[in-house]
Amino acid sequence: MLMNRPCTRILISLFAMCALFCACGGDSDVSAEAGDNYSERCYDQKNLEGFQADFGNYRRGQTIPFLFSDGLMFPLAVSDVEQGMDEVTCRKYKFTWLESSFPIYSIKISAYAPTFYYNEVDKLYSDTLRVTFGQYVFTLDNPEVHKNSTRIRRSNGSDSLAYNPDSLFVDTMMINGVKYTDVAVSYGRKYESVSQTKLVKADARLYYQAEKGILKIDMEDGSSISIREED
Amino acid sequence: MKKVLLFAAGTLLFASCGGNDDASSIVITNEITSDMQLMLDAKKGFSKDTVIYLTDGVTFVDKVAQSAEFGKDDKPGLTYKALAMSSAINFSMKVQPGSGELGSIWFSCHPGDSDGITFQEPVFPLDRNGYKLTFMDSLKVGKSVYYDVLKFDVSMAPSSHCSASEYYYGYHDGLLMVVSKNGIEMSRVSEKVYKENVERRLEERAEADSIAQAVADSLAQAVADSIAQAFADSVAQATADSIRMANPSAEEDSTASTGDTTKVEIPQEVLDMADSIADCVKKAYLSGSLSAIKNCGI
Repeated sequence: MLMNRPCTRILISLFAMCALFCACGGDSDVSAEAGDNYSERCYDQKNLEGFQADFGNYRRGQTIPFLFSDGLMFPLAVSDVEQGMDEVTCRKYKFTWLESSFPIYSIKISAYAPTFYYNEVDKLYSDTLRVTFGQYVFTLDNPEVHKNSTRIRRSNGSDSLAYNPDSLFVDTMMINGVKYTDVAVSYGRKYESVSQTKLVKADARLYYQAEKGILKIDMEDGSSISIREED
Repeated sequence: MKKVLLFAAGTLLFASCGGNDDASSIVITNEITSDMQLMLDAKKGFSKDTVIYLTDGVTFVDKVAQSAEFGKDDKPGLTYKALAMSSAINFSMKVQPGSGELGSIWFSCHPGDSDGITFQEPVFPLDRNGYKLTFMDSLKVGKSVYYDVLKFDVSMAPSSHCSASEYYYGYHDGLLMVVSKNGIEMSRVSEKVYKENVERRLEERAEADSIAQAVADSLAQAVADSIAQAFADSVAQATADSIRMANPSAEEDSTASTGDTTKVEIPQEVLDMADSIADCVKKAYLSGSLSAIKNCGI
């Protein structure tokens, strides 16, 4: 009976439309607001900082002279540097590619910054890089992590470790006649097969420094490449 | 009105049925160009090696893991991958028969390039956008001759992400040769060549280690000797001084005046200290840490 009255019908319709409109409008506002905040968090941050950003001071187009262990000199060129924000994970990233025509090398240095840090110590320990070189993969800690905690020791021709089995710190190192200080060492892993699904321990080492970047890579076959700077 | 509606419904039904007829008329077949069929036919004779070796013949040799997966008779195809251990030789290829078309060949040649490039219905020789694919009856690599080879020449491709300029794929053996961007050939060699290189390098490294050990030993010995000598000198000098002080007019003791250290007996604790410092210097030298030498208490 009540519904039969035109006025009532109009009122109910208006009420329903209003409710629908408000509900939709409300939802839209909420999602838009959340989206904006999320976007702001992602986009308003500055680029990577510290060890991850400054490692090697690599600039696109730069070439770095390197020496292959069997005597071949070759330039390693910084072919690309890409940095930005991963919109899905909201993590800052930086990729650096070092390449040479021959030997046919391609080294990718990847840095990802976490979305937040618990404290300064967490920040220091999260300040890592991943270096991919052929099938070898190295994880580079910020050398500061190991500066006061680890020393490389050698006895009976093999290295012995004091603290972290994957990464070490060397005070001073001579490479091709040039002295480098605050050098860290990363012990490598390698992909087990062409499927590249599983990493296993490799007898490979990467020596690096925050300022100059990659200094030397020892490979499993006994060969190595090392930076060849003027004395 | 009803007639019109019935007519429309009938038209719709007819159209939809017709659509179904068209779809069912596409028979899925594994069609492929004869050039690519030859690649799939190599399934039986394909070399079973999963590791191959490439060298420039002078200084560089690298180990390359390869895999070739041939499809089955009802679903033919080929997926090939070759990944070098240290160099950026990263070659992937897929040969896929088509449905209603003559298949495709896809390849990628850089560790960071997962997109690659696809050629539909390829017939060799093929030249598209600077990519040249050429079939070769045979290719001589070192002392060996390989038959049925596909050459990928990307040197003129402006959008190429490849880390080398030419790749040679043997239908029966996989990757045979790679030519770098500056024209150096990396050719297939036997495992023996690779092992010889590794052994030579390890010998050289051991030799370098033994030289370093000898230098460290002699450095440590020199440090120990110089400490003992310094102690003996100071004892001799002190003896001479004390004699002079006790009897200034007496003829100088020739031993003391000349600082003869052969008669000076060095205490064991001094010798132990010298050995300890020498050992510290030796370890610091061998570890390559020059600054650690400073901390040896010299």
